[in-house]
Amino acid sequence: MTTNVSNTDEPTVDVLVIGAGPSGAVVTHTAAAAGLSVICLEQGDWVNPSDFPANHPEWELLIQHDWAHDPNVRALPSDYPVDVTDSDMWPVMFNAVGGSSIFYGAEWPRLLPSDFRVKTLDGVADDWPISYDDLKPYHDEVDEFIGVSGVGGDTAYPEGLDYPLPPHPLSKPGMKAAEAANKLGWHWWPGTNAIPSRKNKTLEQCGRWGVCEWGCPQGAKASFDLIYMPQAQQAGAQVITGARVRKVVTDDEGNATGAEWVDRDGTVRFQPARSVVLCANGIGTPRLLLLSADDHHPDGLANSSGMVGRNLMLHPNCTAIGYYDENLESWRGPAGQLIHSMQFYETDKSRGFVRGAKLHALPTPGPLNTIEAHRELDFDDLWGPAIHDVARRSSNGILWAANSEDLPDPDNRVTLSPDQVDSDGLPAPKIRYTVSENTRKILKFTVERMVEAHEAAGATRIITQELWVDQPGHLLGTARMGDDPTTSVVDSYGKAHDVDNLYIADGSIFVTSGSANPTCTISALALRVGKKVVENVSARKAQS
Amino acid sequence: MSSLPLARKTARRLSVPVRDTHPPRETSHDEVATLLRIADCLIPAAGPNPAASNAENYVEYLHLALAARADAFDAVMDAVATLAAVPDEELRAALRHMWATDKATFDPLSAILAGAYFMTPQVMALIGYPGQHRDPAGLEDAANELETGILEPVLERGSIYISAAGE
Repeated sequence: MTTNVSNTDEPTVDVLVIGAGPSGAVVTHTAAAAGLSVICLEQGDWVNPSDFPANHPEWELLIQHDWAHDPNVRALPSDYPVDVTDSDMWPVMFNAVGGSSIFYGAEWPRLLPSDFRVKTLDGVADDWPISYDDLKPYHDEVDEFIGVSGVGGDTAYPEGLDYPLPPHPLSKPGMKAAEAANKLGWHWWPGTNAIPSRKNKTLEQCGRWGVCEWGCPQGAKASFDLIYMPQAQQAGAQVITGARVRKVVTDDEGNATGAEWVDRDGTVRFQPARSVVLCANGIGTPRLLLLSADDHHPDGLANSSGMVGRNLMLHPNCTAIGYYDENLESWRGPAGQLIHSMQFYETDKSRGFVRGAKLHALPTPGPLNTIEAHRELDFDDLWGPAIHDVARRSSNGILWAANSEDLPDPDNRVTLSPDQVDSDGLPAPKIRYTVSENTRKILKFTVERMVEAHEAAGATRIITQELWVDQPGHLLGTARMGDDPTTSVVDSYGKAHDVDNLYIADGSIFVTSGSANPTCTISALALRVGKKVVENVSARKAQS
Repeated sequence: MSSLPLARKTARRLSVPVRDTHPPRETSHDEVATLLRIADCLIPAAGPNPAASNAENYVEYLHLALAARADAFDAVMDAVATLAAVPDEELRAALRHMWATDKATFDPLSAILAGAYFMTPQVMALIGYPGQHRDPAGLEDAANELETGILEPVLERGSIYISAAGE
């Protein structure tokens, strides 16, 4: 790879966004719509709905490798290796315009009020410097823009929560799961999804393909290459794909001057900017800050606190799949959550752990996927005449899954790998992560509850998985926000304490993880950060 | 007027894998015969369900499945070469041994053989699987479900959230 920068005369942009996932798309749009000049650099490229595996009959085989969630398995040109040799779990992401929203299920729950105050309420971790109410207007604005579908008035939340589009049907699996929750006296609510139940802007109406987590073939999911980024481009933003950023550059005053990036010919380029916003996810952002170390910042950029890369939270997932005698037509979507339950979200000290989990029920599409779920059976119970009945169960299934709250631990961290590099020779991120005792207790407890739900609904076979080691796509906490520069990387508006014109807008800035699927909160935070970037850059331009 | 090029040069896309519908190399008659023997051992006829090799167009879908898991092609074909000499009456025991001792080979081999079987339209119809497809909801479907009163118990219990300063 060339090490010298080849171009030195690019025009300076007002805002340089690094990463085109959900947070990058929201910030890019916010700044462009305010009239600022914006470039968004993305190491991947565009993916079309017609590219996705479910367009093809062999889709269940394609998702095992070529379209796997794990970049170490998929190993596309846009991917970088993730060194997981010292990690209990293997973080996943998708590197493209749209980022990991290409592959997410678009479940769209907000954090609860207690999530912002876990230190005050439970005596653990830290409180956020903002509250539920501080974030609510940004949530409302994002929800309106992308067209979130759901039922207002969820009793797990304070009053005033509503959604712009009507909900999706619960369908047979959701109705059955809801009936069981009622029998058990649980909270549940019709699933809130960033999947439009009616056509909305550049998103199609949901066609219930059921393959949301492997890319929607219809473009009917709030994948941020299909919403926010198109509107950002219409507002004048430029998206440069195939642009792998290797360093944020600072001047002698300590301000960011832009970023060096490598094009697909291996040429190193420099993009000057008045402000830089990192949106590269909870793994990529700390990696880039550490890669940006220089003589003035020997421990990495914006890292005087030593918190860059620390407190990685991954929301360990657990599941219980139940199979029933009746045909639930469980190939039908969205998937997406049909219902969710916050019954076990909050701390109940009698359970022997703090915090809890968010549960959600989904369909179980695909006969081969169902066979894969049965792999732990004895040979003769799956391979032989039994396989026909196993495959038939794919239409009869309900997947209860849960995110567990993952408390911050400074020893769970992202550093630079000493021996793995990406295709441009840049050090890969190295993950050191241990599932905590508290989390393991949450997982065990939650699996037991999900089994109860299946038993209450009359399941005839239940398959549990207490920890999915290869599925954590919720990458949080590695550049946490806070008011104290000695214990946090950015302030509550995502502005780096150490660098006046450097911002972070992705899941890195979470203080605690909650157990709600995080893209909803990431997007609201990104809008809040983006508006502050606009305010600050505009003020500086007015002064100069 | 300029003419279109006869063959476009297709650059590998950064974020999209190449879809190939043919295995990395042609499979021989003997290799296919062994694959079908293995498939029938893992997926035998039962009731209305045909054995794998008797499913309509199975070989066509087998090639598509081998292409979809091209990453495992060499390992799978090495296993096929090993199993080719195993007599029919010993094949199930050999596969059980592979299942117990070599999951890195057995899992993709069995996924390819089963994946091909459940791709065939005949078998999809037999198991009642219509495939993933567009099936938009009716306008009133969600409202009709909620009008059954299924949400009433939750509403009757009322608010459950934990108050925290600032919400």
